[in-house]
Amino acid sequence: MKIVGQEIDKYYGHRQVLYRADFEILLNQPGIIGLIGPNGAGKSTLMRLLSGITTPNSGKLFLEDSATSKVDDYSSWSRDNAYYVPTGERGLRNKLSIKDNLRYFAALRQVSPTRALESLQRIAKDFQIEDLLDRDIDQMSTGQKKKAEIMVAVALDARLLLLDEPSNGFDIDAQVKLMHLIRTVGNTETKKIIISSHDPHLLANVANQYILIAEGHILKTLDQSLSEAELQEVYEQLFNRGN
Amino acid sequence: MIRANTVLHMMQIELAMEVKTRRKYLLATLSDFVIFTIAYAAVLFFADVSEINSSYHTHDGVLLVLIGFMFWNAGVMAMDLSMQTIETDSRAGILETEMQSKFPLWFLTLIRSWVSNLITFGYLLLVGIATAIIVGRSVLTIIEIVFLVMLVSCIANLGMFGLGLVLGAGSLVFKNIGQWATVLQGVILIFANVAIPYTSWIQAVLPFGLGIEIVRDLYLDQKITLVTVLAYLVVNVIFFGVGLLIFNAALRYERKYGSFERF
Repeated sequence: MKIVGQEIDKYYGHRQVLYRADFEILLNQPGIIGLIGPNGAGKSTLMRLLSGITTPNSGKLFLEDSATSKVDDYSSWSRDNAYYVPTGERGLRNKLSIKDNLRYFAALRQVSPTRALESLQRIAKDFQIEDLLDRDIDQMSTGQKKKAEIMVAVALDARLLLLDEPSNGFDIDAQVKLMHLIRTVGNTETKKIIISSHDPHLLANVANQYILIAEGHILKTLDQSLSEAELQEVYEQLFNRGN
Repeated sequence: MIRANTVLHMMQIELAMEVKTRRKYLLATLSDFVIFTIAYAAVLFFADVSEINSSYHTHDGVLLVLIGFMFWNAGVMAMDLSMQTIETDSRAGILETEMQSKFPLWFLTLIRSWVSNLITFGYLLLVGIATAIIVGRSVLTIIEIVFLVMLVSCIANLGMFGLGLVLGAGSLVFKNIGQWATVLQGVILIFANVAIPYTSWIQAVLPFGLGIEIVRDLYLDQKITLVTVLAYLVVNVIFFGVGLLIFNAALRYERKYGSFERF
């Protein structure tokens, strides 16, 4: 099973932000895809398309069974299987605790609240922030809010998890724990994680595939792990050629 | 197709979350109720109760105004909610998460509006009891009126919700529609048969116009015609349907040309 994007164009109003994007994302092999590119490259746009929140203006986005070549509607699949965590301190109800947010979003996605809460407890233990579970979101620091968003997203057990700049606001210790969490979830048989980030250290430590994007164009896809130095080099070659 | 037990479960969850949220925004919640109480006092002050008494051949004009006010209050809450949900949830980035739900966005908003109406009726019961004490009527009579309004206004609230969806569609596309909802609430309050008798068919075109008359007639033991009931249903189905069509069209447009994050 794979997600296929063919010649996808995306506009915000009259402004084109994605140009004839072609990509394939294999779903039946575990892995973590790093989406890398400078500011305004189209990373969040691509993630929103993959989450099903927005739709392409032209081109095709569909699901293909690799064995039978049977094609399925992406929009209904993404509603059941994809989950997008936006960048910044967005995405949770501010006056509710992490647990209550999870109860609410589990109901919206018709996920078992008991299973989701059990999963949340486990993740909180890994992050060593069990004491935060009953605290209201608006009583948390930026880094804690981000952790809360990621924990809720992981506990909802989506097959395709889209994390937009997940390490923003994290201290070094939290980054290490985030990497561990992403690796644990991403190496699960049925899961795929796509992470957009400017942080080569994070990406080099978790991703085993890359999509490199700039000015709305997908420049390159790499199906391999890279060290931080190699990733820096690829980035310099592709994005800083004129500097 | 959404099943009844799913609707009940969603209402249960939303009610629990709404009560928790309102408790934490206690001052804002109380200020909402104070504003509505001031509006009620103003309606009673400016209402021509003697004209209502003579028009309906009764001495219970104040209670008939109370019926009108309850419909207006529950209706504007339903209308406000569909617009506010879009604006506040977009700012908080929750709209994106809600759009990844298994339920359509209008359905989630409708559930929230029903929950909000349940809470509103608790407040209306208090206002009603205060009115009963002031005008010297039995509290049981007020409970009967609140129950009747709750029952009949379900239909009107769907129509008002539809009207709110049109404003919500405006919010989606134009990001902020300012105070248009407040202006609309005021205009409706002035022209509707809330504090004045039912005098023109134009009042029947408003979602709750005929609902108010149905409850007033039930309270006064007057005959209700089938035409009134059917017209009440048709008006509200149209408001709801048109609101839904416009909202879904705006949502499709925004998904194609927008990003839901530019608030």
